[in-house]
Amino acid sequence: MLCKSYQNKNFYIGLIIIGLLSITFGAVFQQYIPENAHNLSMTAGMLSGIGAAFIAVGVIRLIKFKRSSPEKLKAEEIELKDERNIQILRATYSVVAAASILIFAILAFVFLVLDYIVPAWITIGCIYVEVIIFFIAYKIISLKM
Amino acid sequence: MQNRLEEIRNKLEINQEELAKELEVSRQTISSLENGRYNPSILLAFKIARYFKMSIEQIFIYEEE
Repeated sequence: MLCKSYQNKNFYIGLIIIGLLSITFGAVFQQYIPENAHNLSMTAGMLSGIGAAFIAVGVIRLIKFKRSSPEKLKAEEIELKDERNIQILRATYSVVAAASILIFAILAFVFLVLDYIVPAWITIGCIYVEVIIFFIAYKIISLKM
Repeated sequence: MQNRLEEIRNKLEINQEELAKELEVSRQTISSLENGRYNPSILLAFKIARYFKMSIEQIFIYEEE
């Protein structure tokens, strides 16, 4: 799915549009935030930052599509669709997923030791969400195969 | 699983890059296949066999553990 999106121009046009909306929303949201609400101000800033990043990625990829030769694009497509590369990517994702659960578990302990009860609960919640996603994804994928 | 890919490729005087281009895979995949580090999917095995006009068994040697 990700491999297909990576070579699709419309995906990057969509990314630029989402980026523009995110920046606009961030800027407008900023106007209505009371001066002492720093957390909301930071959220608006984050939205603008994410929007700018989306626009940058979209524009760079579109320029690359325009400037790269068809041979180079074809070679890039082969690299993306290469079955060994896909297997490597999947194995890497699995390691990252397992590592993220471990990191969340360690973080939960750290937050508890520091007496940050709410962040600790959020982190434990994240572990449960990851486990639930695992079982749902497993069920859906096993139905497809 | 062992294979005769390198031997067949050398016999036909094709380099890894050319074979990779024909099979639409990366050169590293060809290299890994030849070294026995990677076993191809059934689709790629068919593609390779079809490219060399051979059967899969003539190229890939299945060893029971």
